[in-house]
Amino acid sequence: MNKIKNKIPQICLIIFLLLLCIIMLAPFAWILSTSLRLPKESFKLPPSFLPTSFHFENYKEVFRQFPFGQVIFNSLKIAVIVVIANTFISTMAGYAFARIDFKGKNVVFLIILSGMMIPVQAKLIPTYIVMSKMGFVGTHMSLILPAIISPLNIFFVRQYMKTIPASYEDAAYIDGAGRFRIYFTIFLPMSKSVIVMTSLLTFLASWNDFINPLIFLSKYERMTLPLGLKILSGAMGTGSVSVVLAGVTMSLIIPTLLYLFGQKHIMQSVVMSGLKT
Amino acid sequence: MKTVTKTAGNYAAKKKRKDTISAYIFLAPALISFGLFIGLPVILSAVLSFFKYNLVNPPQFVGLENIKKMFTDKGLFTAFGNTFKFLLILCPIHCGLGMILAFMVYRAKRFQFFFRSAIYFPSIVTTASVAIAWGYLFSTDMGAINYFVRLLGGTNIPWLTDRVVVYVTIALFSFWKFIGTTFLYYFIGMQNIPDVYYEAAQIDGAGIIQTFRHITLPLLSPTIFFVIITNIVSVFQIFDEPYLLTNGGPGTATRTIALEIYQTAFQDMNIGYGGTISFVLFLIILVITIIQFKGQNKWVVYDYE
Amino acid sequence: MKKKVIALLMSTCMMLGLAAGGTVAAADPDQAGVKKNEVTRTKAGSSDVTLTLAMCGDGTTKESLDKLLAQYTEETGVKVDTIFIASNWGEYCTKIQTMVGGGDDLDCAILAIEGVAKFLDMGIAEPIDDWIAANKEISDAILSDTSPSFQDVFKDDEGNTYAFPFSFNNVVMHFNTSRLEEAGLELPAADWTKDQFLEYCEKLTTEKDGVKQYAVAVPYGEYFCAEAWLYNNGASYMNEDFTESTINSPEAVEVFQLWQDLIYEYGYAPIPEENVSAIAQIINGQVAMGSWGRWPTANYIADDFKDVAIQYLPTFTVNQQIGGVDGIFTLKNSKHIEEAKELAAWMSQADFEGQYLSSGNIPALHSLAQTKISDLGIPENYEIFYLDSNTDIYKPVSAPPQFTECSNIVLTAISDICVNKSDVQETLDNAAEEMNAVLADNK
Repeated sequence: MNKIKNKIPQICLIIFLLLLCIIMLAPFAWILSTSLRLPKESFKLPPSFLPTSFHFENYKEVFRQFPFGQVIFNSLKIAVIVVIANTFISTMAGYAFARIDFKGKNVVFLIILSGMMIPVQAKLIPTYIVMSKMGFVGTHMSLILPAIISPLNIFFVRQYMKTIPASYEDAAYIDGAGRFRIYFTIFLPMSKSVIVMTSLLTFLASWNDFINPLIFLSKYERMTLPLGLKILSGAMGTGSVSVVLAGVTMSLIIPTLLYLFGQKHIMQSVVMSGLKT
Repeated sequence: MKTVTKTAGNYAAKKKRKDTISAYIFLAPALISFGLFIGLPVILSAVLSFFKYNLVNPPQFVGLENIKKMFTDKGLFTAFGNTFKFLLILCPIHCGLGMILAFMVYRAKRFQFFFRSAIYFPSIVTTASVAIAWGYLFSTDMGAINYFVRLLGGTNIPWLTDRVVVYVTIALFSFWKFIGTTFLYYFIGMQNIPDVYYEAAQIDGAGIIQTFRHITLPLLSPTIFFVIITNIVSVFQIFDEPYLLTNGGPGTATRTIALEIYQTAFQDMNIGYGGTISFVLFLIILVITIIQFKGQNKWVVYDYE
Repeated sequence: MKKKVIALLMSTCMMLGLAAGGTVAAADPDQAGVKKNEVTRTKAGSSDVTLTLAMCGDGTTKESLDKLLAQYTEETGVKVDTIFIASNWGEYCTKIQTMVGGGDDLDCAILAIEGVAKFLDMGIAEPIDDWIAANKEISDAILSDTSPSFQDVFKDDEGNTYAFPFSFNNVVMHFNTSRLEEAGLELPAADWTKDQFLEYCEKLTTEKDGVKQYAVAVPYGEYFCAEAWLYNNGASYMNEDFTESTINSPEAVEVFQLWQDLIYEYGYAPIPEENVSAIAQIINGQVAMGSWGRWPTANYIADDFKDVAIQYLPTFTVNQQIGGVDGIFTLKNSKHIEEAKELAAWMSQADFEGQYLSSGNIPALHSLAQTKISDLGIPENYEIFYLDSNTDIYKPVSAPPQFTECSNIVLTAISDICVNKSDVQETLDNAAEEMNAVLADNK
């Protein structure tokens, strides 16, 4: 009797969370099943949360309306380049802040951290001017360059590298290894989980960015996914919501794969262990 | 620099100088890109405050005109007001509910992986695409949500067409879309609290609420501090949600500073004035952050190991 | 030492800032020099030239446009990239300016009357008088077949011409005829009044399967269409020399009040929403009437929707039709300016215009307009769009150099009144005050 009584809070908790999760996922079910409806019936009530018809034409229509493959490729290309450059820069800087004692360390670190406080919009206009002077407006470079530096990632990497025991480093020193070799052969591999985490965050930030492409890009074939979808919804919103939702559904594929691949690392990463500044 | 006489001291100084050089080599890419894409823009937006500029014609020095204009700009006051409203609504949701949710999932003995994934999932998908879908879901007459409202005997709720209700809608959307991020930070933070604390609490006979209050909360305080800081910055730049769901409307009800900057600079082509607003926004966030850092000693516990 | 590091960092940033700021002023003559060289270079061999053409719209017509431009590439060897931007002129002008300001490649852009003053004011358009002089035969054919009042729209104060009229629109009431039939109504007479309009509204407001069917959509988000209603009550957004706002005149207030009442007082119109297109609503019958030019016909054709008829907007005190015309502009920053002028002119001729504008806007060439709008088949009473070659009856839409600002002010006011139920007089007084501040430069 007592045992069951003790379990009641736990059961309530599970039921509550299950309901909540169903609600969280319901919009996706609606998006998917509506994307398979006939365009004319997309707004027909009752709404469907389980696919009742399978009108795959909508997915073809997305490609016909729009260079959708190209758009996905653009987003992917930009995000991958950003992630690589960003990881390189963040881990180098993070290593210096975590493991080297040098003059001006605290000041430089504080200046970099203060970059976290600057909202995108505050940088938007001057970045636009800088990019236009560099001749990058309208190109993917204008989205890549400003995204390669991320104070938050430097912070995460520093926190993580601080927790790596000094003995690894010392052994390498005795072998006569230089700083760069230590960074490259010891610290980089050992920081795998934090790198996966910052990479995922950086990838998603780039993949989901809306305001920068809105301002910097204009050509169809250079567009990124969020902007492309917005334009698709403008073109098709007048009657074929299901086509728009077919595009939306396809836009979900890559983040989902990425999450499935990266979630183990995110959860394991002890990066947040001490958010000391 | 002080003159160092002892050899040991000399060696240490030499090592430090060498270290300093190598440290700056490591930092060089970060510092250069920081200077170009963060430092320079901030300075440039301060400089722009003194100019009238439309990107096409050469800039024109106007002195303090832009700054004066700010004090009489009703639209700007509305935008600041709206942004603060968002701050008051969204920060508690993300910083508070996110933590409660994380604690619940942390305590759940079953389906933990499913809960984690379901809550986190919306935050990894493109805001633009799901906002488009939500726009349809929340449509007054044809939307799925009002269909259920009518089914349950209610009347249509003006989700996106009432200046008060629209805040509820955006709060709901924001909860759904972004709670995963703070949830994740809290969840990891909780996982990193050593079990011994909980075991000790259990031996003392503490209930769930007491455990949460006396163990989880203080030990989580660095994470909470981090979440609050990053959250305030992100609410100050809220753009996607109002732009995609309401376009700042109805009327000016959800026009935020970010939208105002976008409109001033890139629609009205008043780059100088847009720069002025940007710079003021930066200063406000800076001040708020400094205050938070000053206040953190009172409640953030760092050393518990 | 710490201080030194900060000082160093700061001064580096400063230097970079000044360098970037400094080049801003120096950029213009530089660019001009580069441009000249390139023009002469491209004249020699123009086979690898690619022009970028900006169009306003949601891309419904991109496919047909690209097909037609492929013909052009075949004829001339010049390739054309098309980009479709936004769906209202305000946003469109914004993006064009940003592109030009940011140095993005852009050679030709369509531009409606709303944005012309703004473009000329900023000096980003290139006059085409030399092209007209050099190609007398073609330009005469265009100019003699288009209305002089439309041609004047594309001239500056010194008489330079910047574009040929390409297409135009008036604003009429569109009706879903099956909704009219269900309500037992005939199409109203051309001189129908506000009272008759309200009668129609009452009869057209019904319920079907538990979902309300509305009579009319208010002109939400439509600067051009909304002013058409004002004109019929002798009102407008601003006076004719764009120095003062008249949006809070009693006549204007009456019209705005009517829109608000249609929604809240009578329940004849749905509350407008950002994500719901009124054109979609008239197609699926959720509303029975809506006010637009001829452009929705492109959507009607795409959705195979045929049950549509049109009539002039109801007369309040006068029946003054609004008119808006657009043209293909050549941009000053173009690296291939001669080719760009060539393309703009090609698009303004009967061959292209006739095929591209089979649905959508009304062709500006009289000879085409006569045949094209009847050939489409919908709406049946197409002649309301275009009676005869007399287009001087149209009063142009208010188009000051500060069009984007004014458009934002007007659309926000409409949203405030129609969605937020704000007090009409007060909202319009505020809008007028804001607009006056913006228009002050024109005095």
